[in-house]
Amino acid sequence: MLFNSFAFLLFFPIVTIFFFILSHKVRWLFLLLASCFFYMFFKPEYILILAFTIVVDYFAGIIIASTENVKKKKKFLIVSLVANISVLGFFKYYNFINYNIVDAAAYFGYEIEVPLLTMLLPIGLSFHTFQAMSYTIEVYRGNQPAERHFGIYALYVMFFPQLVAGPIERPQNLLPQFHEKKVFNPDLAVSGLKLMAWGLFKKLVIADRLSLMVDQVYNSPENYRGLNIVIATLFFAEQIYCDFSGYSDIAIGSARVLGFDLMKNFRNPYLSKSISEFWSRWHISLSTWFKDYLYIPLGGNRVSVPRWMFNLLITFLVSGFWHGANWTFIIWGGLNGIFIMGEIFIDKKRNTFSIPTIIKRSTTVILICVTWIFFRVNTLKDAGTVFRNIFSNSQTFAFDLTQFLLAVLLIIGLEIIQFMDEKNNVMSKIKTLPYLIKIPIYAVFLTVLLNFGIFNNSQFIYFQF
Amino acid sequence: MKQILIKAALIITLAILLNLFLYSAIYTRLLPYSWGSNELLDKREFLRRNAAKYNSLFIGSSKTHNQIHPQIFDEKARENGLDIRSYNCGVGGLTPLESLHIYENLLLHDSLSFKYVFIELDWIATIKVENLNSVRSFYWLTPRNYNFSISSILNSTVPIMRSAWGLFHYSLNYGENLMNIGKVHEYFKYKNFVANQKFLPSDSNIMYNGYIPMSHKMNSTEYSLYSEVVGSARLAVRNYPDLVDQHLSQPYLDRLQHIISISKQRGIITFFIVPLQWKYYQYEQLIPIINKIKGARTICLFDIDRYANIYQVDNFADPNHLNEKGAKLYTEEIFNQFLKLYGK
Repeated sequence: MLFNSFAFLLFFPIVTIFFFILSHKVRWLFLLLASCFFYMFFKPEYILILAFTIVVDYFAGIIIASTENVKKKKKFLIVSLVANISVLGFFKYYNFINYNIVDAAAYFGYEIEVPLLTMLLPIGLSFHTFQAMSYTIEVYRGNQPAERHFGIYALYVMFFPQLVAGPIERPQNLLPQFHEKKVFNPDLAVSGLKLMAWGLFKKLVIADRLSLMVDQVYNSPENYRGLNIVIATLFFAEQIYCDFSGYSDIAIGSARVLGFDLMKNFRNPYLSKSISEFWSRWHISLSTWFKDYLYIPLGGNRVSVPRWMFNLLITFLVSGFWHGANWTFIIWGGLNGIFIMGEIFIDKKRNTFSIPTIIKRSTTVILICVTWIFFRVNTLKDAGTVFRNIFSNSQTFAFDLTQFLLAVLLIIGLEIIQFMDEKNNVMSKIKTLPYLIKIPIYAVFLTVLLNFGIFNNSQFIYFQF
Repeated sequence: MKQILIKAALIITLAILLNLFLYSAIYTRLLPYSWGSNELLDKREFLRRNAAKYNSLFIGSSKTHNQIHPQIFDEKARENGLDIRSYNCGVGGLTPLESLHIYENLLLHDSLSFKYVFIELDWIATIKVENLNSVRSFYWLTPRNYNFSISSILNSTVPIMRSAWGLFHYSLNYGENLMNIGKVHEYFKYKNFVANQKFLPSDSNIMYNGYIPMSHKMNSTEYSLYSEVVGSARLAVRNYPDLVDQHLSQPYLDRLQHIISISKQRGIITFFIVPLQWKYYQYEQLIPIINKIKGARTICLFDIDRYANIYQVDNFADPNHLNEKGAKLYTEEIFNQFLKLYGK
């Protein structure tokens, strides 16, 4: 079920009402059933994949927690990780690996045929497998007791607000909340609803509008040159932010209405002064996942400089591969790693002069936009076309001028709000305004959302991961 | 909690008022009456630009669009000494209320006039599932059309679940229209369409007379659905005399009488075409209308045994639509019935 669908508009209030009407004892069951329904709305049979990993991880967690035998602990951690990674690998990377085997064989003059998977990637697979893996890892590390209640563990993996595109939660934050008795809190509910509305605004009004112009260029990059590609790339940077942070806002907001607190996933990333800062503000739940479970176990920065650089690069390459089974994503991840390595190198050399903040911010946005080109292109060949055409002679303006101006206006408006939000919380400022001003502001916002939104049930970009 | 609810009610009321203002003061001026379908916009614009070339009009769903061949109809007319130059304004999925909305506006807004108009009749409580929550399902739901659709459903005896479904969706779609859901984007789309359209026939795959044949061949599942259609049609014919008052939708009948009357004022003779339907309950609503309508010339084509040559399985492209060969026979039969009714 999509957050921006009519079905969710019916589903969510019904779930909220029944959740608070029901006794605490059965709420977990109700939420689990609601989450199953939410997930099965996409493709019912894929719930079996989730069921498989849930069963494996649940028992692995109990065994790991109940034994003192380190070897046995490790063995069951590996069982859990292999089960999760195998599922992810099979559904997400099987075709990619096979395509590459065929290509490599063809390069050496061999023609081989490999069977391909024709089924769609189970939605949100990368997200819930990572969340499941974080549970067994935390149990193994002794940071989290094993969850004995099977239903609650299943709910931890399947909780519908964050099931398909995160935030990727940690067991320490989410699991205890399912045991707490939730009481309806009107202030929390209002704040959650506001966040959901803001997320919908970012998705429907900004991201989906920008996607029209981005798709126009990136679906046939050979037809565009110069400024048109630059505009489409800048628009994509804003589109993916509004799309994904919009999704996260709706997820966090809907969980908040039900009384659950999910972790923040974005903190105005385009205001970052460096690429490394960008990654502490962008998709925070994934960045911290990689930091905690890959970068630090590899040694982090407490190793020799070459090894540190290697750790960084590996982490970003894996992160790229996590995003999609395509070389474009791997290059995207690698580029981010290289840029951060460059920053570290420059920082070590630069002791005598300081760079103005505006330069730092602009440079960061430009570098991030370069990486987004690899993220957005459909093929590696398209990336070559984009980089070739971006520097070639400009052509006539390719976009509808009114749509373009509207998009620019929306982006500027959003960035101003984000900038203000960085200093003072805009929402709490509005809250302090008198009713005569506050109520029309909300009514106008709602009207703008309805009138300017693009209601074509388009999927969120991160659903494909 | 009470305070929060009051605040929410105030915000929602204010937003509704704002949107109603935008709906009546802005969008009704910016968007034409046919804005929900590009095909319709195209056909309407073509008609407006070529008004002098045509003196007859077919309007309806895909059963008109893909089954009525104006060229064949016009040739038959010429053979019988009649000057008919017809245009097929059928569009896939056009609901009966949408057809009436378009036809009325062609007369009132575009001041088009014809000698003969053929309107396809269909039952009311239906919106194609693929069109639900799309502009296609609400652009034509003006306050008047909404009122009409609701009263038509309430005054009919279609199965309760179907009525409830119809009421729910018409109300939801009407709300979407009044609340201007996505209208700014639709306006841009419309502007873009107008700026880029070449108008028929130069760049369109629609033939100059608006007809598109269907060439698909039925598969085994479609064969069984075809049998269902045949069953419903046979049952309807058998019960034809009994289906009179008890299932009559008075608002639907009144609207059709209104159509006949405004057409008559402009010297247009109206014909209603009743094609095959999927379900028996569709006939339950349509047949009482056919039996009651005054001053109408009705061309009934749902007697599957009487028109066995048309409805042979080989003449179908899918269970609901005739292929090119079937369309030729269908058009010829419409002409034959037209000729019989012509003098009346």
